Amino acid sequence: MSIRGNDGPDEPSRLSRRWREILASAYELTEAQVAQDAGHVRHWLGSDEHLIAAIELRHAWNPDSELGPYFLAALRRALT
Amino acid sequence: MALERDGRANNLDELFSDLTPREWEVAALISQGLTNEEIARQLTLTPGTVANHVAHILSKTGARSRVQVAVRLVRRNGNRTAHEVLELLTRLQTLGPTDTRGALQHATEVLAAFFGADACDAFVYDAAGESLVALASSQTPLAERQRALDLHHLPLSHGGRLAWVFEQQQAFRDGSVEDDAFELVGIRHDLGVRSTLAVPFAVSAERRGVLVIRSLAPDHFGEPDLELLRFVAYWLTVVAQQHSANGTVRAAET
Repeated sequence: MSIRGNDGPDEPSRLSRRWREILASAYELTEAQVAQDAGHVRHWLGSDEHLIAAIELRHAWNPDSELGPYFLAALRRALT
Repeated sequence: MALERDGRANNLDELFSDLTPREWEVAALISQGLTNEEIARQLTLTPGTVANHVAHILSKTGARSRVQVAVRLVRRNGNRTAHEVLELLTRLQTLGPTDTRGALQHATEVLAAFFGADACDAFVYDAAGESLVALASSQTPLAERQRALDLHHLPLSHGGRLAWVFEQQQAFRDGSVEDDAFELVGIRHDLGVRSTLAVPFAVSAERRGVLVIRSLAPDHFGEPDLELLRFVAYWLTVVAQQHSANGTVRAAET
């Protein structure tokens, strides 16, 4: 999967502008929130379960919405 | 997901043909201004699944936001009427903008995409500087170049078409801007603008400006487009009054 954005060469540790736009619009967040979440995901040392719970708490997402797992998976694809 | 596509690709049929039937369903509901939760209810999905579909739709179509998806679908369906665009603006208005600046930003994005234009700006008069200042602009390369050239700040004393529209309070349409000696050289030559639509609008009784759409293609806009832009300007006035009544206009003016 390509993650090349419109704002220059890919940096594995950073989210491209294009991905920020996509994830922000798809998950009804701001681009700043997505960028912050990307930082948390990059540096997270705990379990996926706890990371998803933290993301859901941060955005007030109900676990039944499945927004947390989908969002985390999308963020990880974007950061690969 | 392939993200190599340029967000301004024009072949809508080709881009949308990549969508799966389910993505089409989601895109159609996006174009009605529905949120993830509302779409999920209609299609009996979870909001997470809907968001995942939305991400794929944006990626495949090259759109930068769900607003662009909505606008592209409306254009694809040929519903280019005043009624349709105003309905679209009104529906999409509920998705985010909470103040006048947000409403203007939202409108410039929708209008640039809807008209297939290269830039759309909402200029507001700054009395202190006796200038027209772009309070909101579409996120398009031409608008970014305009800002880089400092053409988002236009002293009335410099003249130009926007100053004329503002001072005369008259709408303006031109399809051969390069021949308009009254237009600023920066607009004609540095930006290479060939077509312009501009209408005066009012954010409030004291705060007025000009809504302008530009294209690098000659004769890009017709008279019906000008009428449509007049309607949009009226819509913006109504929205601004609503925000003003809610006490949010002050924040937008700072």
